[in-house]
Amino acid sequence: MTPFLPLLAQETAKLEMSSMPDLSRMLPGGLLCLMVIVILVVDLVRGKGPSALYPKLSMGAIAVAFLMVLFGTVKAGAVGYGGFPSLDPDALSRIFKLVFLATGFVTVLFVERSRQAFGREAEFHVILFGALAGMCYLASATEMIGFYLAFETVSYTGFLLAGYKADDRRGAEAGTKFVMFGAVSSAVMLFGLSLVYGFTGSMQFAVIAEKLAAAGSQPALVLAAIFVFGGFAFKAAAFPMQWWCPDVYEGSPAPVAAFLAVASKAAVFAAGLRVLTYGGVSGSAPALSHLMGHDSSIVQTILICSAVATMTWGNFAALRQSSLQRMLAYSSIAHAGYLLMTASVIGTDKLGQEAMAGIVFYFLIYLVMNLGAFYVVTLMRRDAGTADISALRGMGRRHPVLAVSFAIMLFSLTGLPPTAGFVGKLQLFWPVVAKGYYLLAAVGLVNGAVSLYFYAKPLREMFLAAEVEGEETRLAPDGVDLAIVTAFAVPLVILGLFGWGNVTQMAMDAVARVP
Amino acid sequence: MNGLSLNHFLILGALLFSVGVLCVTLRRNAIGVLIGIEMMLNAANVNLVAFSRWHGHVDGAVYAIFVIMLAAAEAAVALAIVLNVFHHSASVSTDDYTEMKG
Repeated sequence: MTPFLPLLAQETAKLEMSSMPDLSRMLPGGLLCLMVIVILVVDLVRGKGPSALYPKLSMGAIAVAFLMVLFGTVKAGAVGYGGFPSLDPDALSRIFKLVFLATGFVTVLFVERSRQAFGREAEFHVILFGALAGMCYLASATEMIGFYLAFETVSYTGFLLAGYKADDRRGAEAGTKFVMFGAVSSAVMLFGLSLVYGFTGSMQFAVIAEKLAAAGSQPALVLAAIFVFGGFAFKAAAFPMQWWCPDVYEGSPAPVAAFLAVASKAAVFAAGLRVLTYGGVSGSAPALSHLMGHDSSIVQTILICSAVATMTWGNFAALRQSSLQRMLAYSSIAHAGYLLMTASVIGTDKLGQEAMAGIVFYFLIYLVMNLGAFYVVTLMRRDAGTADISALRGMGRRHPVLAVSFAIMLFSLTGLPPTAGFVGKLQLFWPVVAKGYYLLAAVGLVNGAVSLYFYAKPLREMFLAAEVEGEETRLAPDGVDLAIVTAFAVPLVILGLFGWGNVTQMAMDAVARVP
Repeated sequence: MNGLSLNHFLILGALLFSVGVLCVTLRRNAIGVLIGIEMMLNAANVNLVAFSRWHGHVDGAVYAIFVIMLAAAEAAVALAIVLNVFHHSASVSTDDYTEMKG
């Protein structure tokens, strides 16, 4: 016997000894990966041509994964091979996974309702499942390799989804802009990560946070922080990496834009919250947000500057938009600004935790109101063939249910009572005010007032503008459409009036890590 | 290491990164931009491998292998999308991607 084999046997034994990871905790993500293969095989077996099978298969699988996450038990500790913990399916990632899966489900529903021939239908679902799996892993990644892999999975699938309609010039252009900006920002982020690794000698976020806090202020670390933030800013559509967002959202099919606006943004914030607070929330190690060891850290400075620029740019650019889909893109940029504003006060203290819970809570609401608004865009593009706001003229009289539901979503996006958006904004602004950042909060409030103006534009068209003879709205929602928009609007009012205590508690539980 | 220190590799990485950034910002050709992006990714790889050697463990080298794999995937996705837009406008110049503005 060669000396090689005993060595191999030894190694194998060691691998078994070092506790195989508890893969059952990663089942929802695994199911999504499996679905990628299943749909590919189904496509191979049944050949070309459209089929009602894929949407049903996808929605079923996503629903199963959703229930698995919802009812699965959450245990502490990260999973990984050979003593290299890389994924932590904790309470924080759980709540974000629910957001991703719900968005995925709704996206498939929207595609189905848009009655748009997407071509190569099976592949669309394959890419969607790839994106969802990437997001689920991104939300629970605790070290750099897993984080980067998941991050890029989400990015690449996003590029493909945005440019999916190959016969559409705008779609192709959207995909190109997305991939150029995305690849550059991910390369910049990677360079930053390589510097962080060089300084700390570790891939684990927890170790990195500890080492960085000890290292204190160093020019190369400041550079690394800015570079890494570049990657995050791209995915969150935050300044200075927001340029792609309006074009991509306008050029992609409306359901895809909805998916990118909600799930993709939630994924990067999930990862961002983990990076910001790693080790901080449990109190065992200093948070990365205290990089400089002072009250106002470099990370915080970056976040505040970006937040102010992002929300101001988003809101003011939205003012002069005539396409609803493009306006929602700017509105999604502005929302990234509000979220970053609150992210800047995240920390180990109670206020910092409240800020984090506020962000989680806001995503739950953002999911409902933004997807609802994008459904209206889907309907506009389906029936009127345009996303121009003037296509809504006279809706208030012709389709009052749709018009009122959309109005509720717009009120909620603005943050007016009695909608859930108001409660969400309250929870975003409260930690900032309580921390004493009055100027930052004031900038946010002024921005909120500005946003009122452009969110009111569709309202004016729907309820006030006089219909021109022969140019009545071409929107023809059927019963199912009305049921769907109502299903998005009603929770916003219910949440806004009562019952939001439960959701707040859910968010608080999610950020108070499992002991 | 024959007089080669960590700093030499870091300078190489920084130079490669700068060349990549210049390539991305100055090139008007989509393929040129993609080449610039590859340079930026490989600048990070040089850093990772050098740091890995310096720290005396393999984490960084393993990371670099993952990055190489991802760079290949990225090139495939990006080229497919650029090819698609080429079918529409018969141009790979980024100046021509002006269908949407504002």
